[in-house]
Amino acid sequence: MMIIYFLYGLSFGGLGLAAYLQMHQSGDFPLKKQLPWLAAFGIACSVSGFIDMFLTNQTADEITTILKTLRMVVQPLTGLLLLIFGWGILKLDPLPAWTIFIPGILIVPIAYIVTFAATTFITPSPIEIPIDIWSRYLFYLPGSIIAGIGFLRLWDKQRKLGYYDVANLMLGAGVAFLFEAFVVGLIVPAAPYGPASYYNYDRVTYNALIGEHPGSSESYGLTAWLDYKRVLQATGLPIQFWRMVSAFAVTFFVVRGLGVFEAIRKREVDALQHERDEAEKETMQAQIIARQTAESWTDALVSINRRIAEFENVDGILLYIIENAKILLHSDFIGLALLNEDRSQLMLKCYSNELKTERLFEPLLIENPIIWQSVRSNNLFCSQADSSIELLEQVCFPIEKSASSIAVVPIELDNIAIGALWIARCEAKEKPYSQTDLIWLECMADLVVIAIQHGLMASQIQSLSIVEERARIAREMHDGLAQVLGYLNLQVQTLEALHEQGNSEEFINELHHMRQAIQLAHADVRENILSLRTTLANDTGLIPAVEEYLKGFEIQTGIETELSVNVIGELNLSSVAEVQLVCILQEALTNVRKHACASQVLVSIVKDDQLDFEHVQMEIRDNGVGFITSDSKRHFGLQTMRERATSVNGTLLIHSVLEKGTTVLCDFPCLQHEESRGTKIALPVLDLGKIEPLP
Amino acid sequence: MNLREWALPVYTVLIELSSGALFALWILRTLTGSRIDEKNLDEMTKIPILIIFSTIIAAMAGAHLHLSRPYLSFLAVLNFQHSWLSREITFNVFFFLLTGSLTALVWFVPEHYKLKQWLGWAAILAGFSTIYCMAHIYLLPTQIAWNSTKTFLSYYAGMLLLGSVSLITILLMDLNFSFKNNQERSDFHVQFVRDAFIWLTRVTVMTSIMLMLLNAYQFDFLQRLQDPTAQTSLNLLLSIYLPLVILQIGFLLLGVIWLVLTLRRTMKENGSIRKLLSPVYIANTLILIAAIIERFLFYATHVRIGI
Repeated sequence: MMIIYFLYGLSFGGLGLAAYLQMHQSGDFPLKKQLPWLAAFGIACSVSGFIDMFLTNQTADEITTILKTLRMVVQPLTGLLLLIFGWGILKLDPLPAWTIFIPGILIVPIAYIVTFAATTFITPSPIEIPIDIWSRYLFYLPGSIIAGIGFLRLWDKQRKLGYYDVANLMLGAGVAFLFEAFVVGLIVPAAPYGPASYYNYDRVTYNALIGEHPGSSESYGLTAWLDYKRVLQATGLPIQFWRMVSAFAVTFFVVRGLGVFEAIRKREVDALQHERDEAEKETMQAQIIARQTAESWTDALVSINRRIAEFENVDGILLYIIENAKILLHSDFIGLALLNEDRSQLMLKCYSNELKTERLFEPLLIENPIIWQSVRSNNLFCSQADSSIELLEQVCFPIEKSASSIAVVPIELDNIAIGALWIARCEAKEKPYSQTDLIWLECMADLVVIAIQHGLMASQIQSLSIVEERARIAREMHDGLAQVLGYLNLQVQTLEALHEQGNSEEFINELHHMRQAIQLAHADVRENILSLRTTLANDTGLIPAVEEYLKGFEIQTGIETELSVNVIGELNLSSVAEVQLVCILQEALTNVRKHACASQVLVSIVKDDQLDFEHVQMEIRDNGVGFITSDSKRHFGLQTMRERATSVNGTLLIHSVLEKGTTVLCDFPCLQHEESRGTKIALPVLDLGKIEPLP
Repeated sequence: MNLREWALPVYTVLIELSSGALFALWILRTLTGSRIDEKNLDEMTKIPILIIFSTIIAAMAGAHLHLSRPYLSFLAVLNFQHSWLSREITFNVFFFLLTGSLTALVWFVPEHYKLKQWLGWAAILAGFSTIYCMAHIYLLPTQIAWNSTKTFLSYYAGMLLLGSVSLITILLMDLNFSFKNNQERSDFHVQFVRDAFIWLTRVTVMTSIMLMLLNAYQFDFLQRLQDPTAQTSLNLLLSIYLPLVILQIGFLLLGVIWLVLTLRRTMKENGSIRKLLSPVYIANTLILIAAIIERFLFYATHVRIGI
């Protein structure tokens, strides 16, 4: 028995010590606030166990008395500490609202039990017996039950959280405390107190106050088996052994539970850290996606703008715009429709679906009310998840496929809607378009307008160029061929007169002059033909065109030409600038042929780091007779060259030294640099169908 | 007193408690009826009346533990004409049925306000009658300690004391429950409980004083009687049961003073009465223990003439 009491005391001592040590650990976990009570309970139980151990050993009477007195203090204290601990455990999680009635309902039985207990103290039996029994009934039994229920609630909670390891330990602790309630709180010595006198009725010794004899009557409902003797008879082991088992179970599960709670806390910290890492990753991923999206949009916009600036075919630009918009806005269909001249019909001009992107040469009539409404009201439209299915029909082309969501923006020119651009998604599971999508689509609609405006501008420039070129040819013919023909007419008359006079010597002399004039006219005509033939229409590029022209010039004039090209990367000049550059070259070489008396011309084209790759320089240098540059403003050809350079934001410099030659230097800005100057040209509205590409 | 006899204090005290609580509740309900609509009135009395009815059931169940053959208890009503016990049981059955019907009406029938009112007063009458019969049982010429008007008075005083203090607890529990359960309760309900708390505390104080006076009267009564049985009863009170007498008076005084002081402090600080639940639990427990000890002493100190 001593060993059992020793182990009992040791077990609870271990529990108290473990709880005490855990109290001083860092961290927070469910049992933390209850640890002082658990530690006190464990130590008090341990003391109680060791007192029982010493009491089993026959010691001196004085010591026995002291120990018994101490036990009378420790035992109710133990139960009280357990009650407080159990209540704390039970309240770890908020209790259901109805539990507020429990204390109120318990008032009645508590009052009766306390009264009953009070009456038993006036009986003549030894005081330690009622203390022992009532400590168990009033404190230990409810304390163990409450603690058991509290641990079972923790088991349920941890199980729901998925912490099965700690849940199992909490279940074990709960069952252990309920077992504790049974073996420590309910099984009491056979004595005439409270329930004990009821279910241990036949074992109750004679009691003077009650005035009953043992065995005089049987209690009904319960058999008499909850006292120490019956436990020994039933199990073959004394109640102290079962209490020791209960103490081991409680200690084992609670101490393990404390450790696991700490592990859980660490696990939760790790989980939080992991969660934070995941959140960071997601944020990074979102940022990457956002950046990629922004880059995709930027690339697309730059590319579209470049195509517009380069005066590419308008149809091609529009198809490029809608295809990019369809991809970037994750759509299954995109359509571009324009109003006809009397604004009575909306015609689909081009579209892009999952199969192809094409311009319709026989425009299709659009009758969808949403698109029409957007054009008429000049407002954006974005369908919602609950939008009517009927409204989403006839949105895509071919029209067999209806959309699940749609976004429409009007195409505005001078604040007047001239058409609509819309995107559609066909899969029902896809989410509707967002406001951001609408903004991007509106941006694309703006580019559509810009492309149309540029197309119109290109048409006008083309017309102007034709007029200008005709004027130039007329001027050349007037200054050259017409003058020569007029001169020849006069010469022919002179020759007729000399022939009539029979002045053969003078006749031959004039004939020689005529031949020279015809040769000059021939040279002019051939040069003009060469100039007219030298265009950039065959897409060979500026440098090959210049190279070809110089070869022709050398053959025709006999002036040695040399081309030096130092271009890093692409020239990146606008189409207009390239045309003007070639024209300037032609004019300069014409001057060389006519006036310079040069034997050699050096042409160099440069675009390198010295020019920051933002300019293209062309230099035409001859070894001719030169001229006085202060007189150059009076020369019509030089003036034209300057105007050509200025028209594309370029500069032209002429440097000439008498008897040493002339150098013409022109500097043209590259495309980006030119755009930054923000040149805007307002053009009148023209029908898209009339726009033709630049030659 | 053996364990089976404990059924008597269980039954008598709980019937007193339920009758007193229902009486106090019905007075409050009647006085408040003109200031609030019937639906809210029913909402406010739902849980209190359910607890009162449950207490009656507990009392009757406890009473059956006193009987050797509880399943034949209904036969007791057959002797209504000659036995106060039969009358007590009969009225108690009425009390039980009327309160049960009233509980069902309040919980499940939203209308019939007047019926509920009359039914409530009928149940109270049945409860009063039960207590009257209960007290009358002990007016026996052979039981000197019991055979006085003090028995009636102490039973009714006990009824008022336990009813008022219990109703305070019940109303506070209900109020806290409604707040904890996020139920919408009007400011009127809070004010109702606050006013009830004040008035019921006053009743508690007065009835406790009355009970203490009655106890003093009992001592004087027993001392003045020159009958040996009365002297024996007095001796028992002053010797073996003296600790219990002291406990009874002490608990009663402590409970009432505790209740008054906590209420007074809350009123002074203009605090929330909902926070008084724990002090009220303690006060109620102390007063209930005092009432049970008083009933225990009532049974334990009687000495029958001829034995």
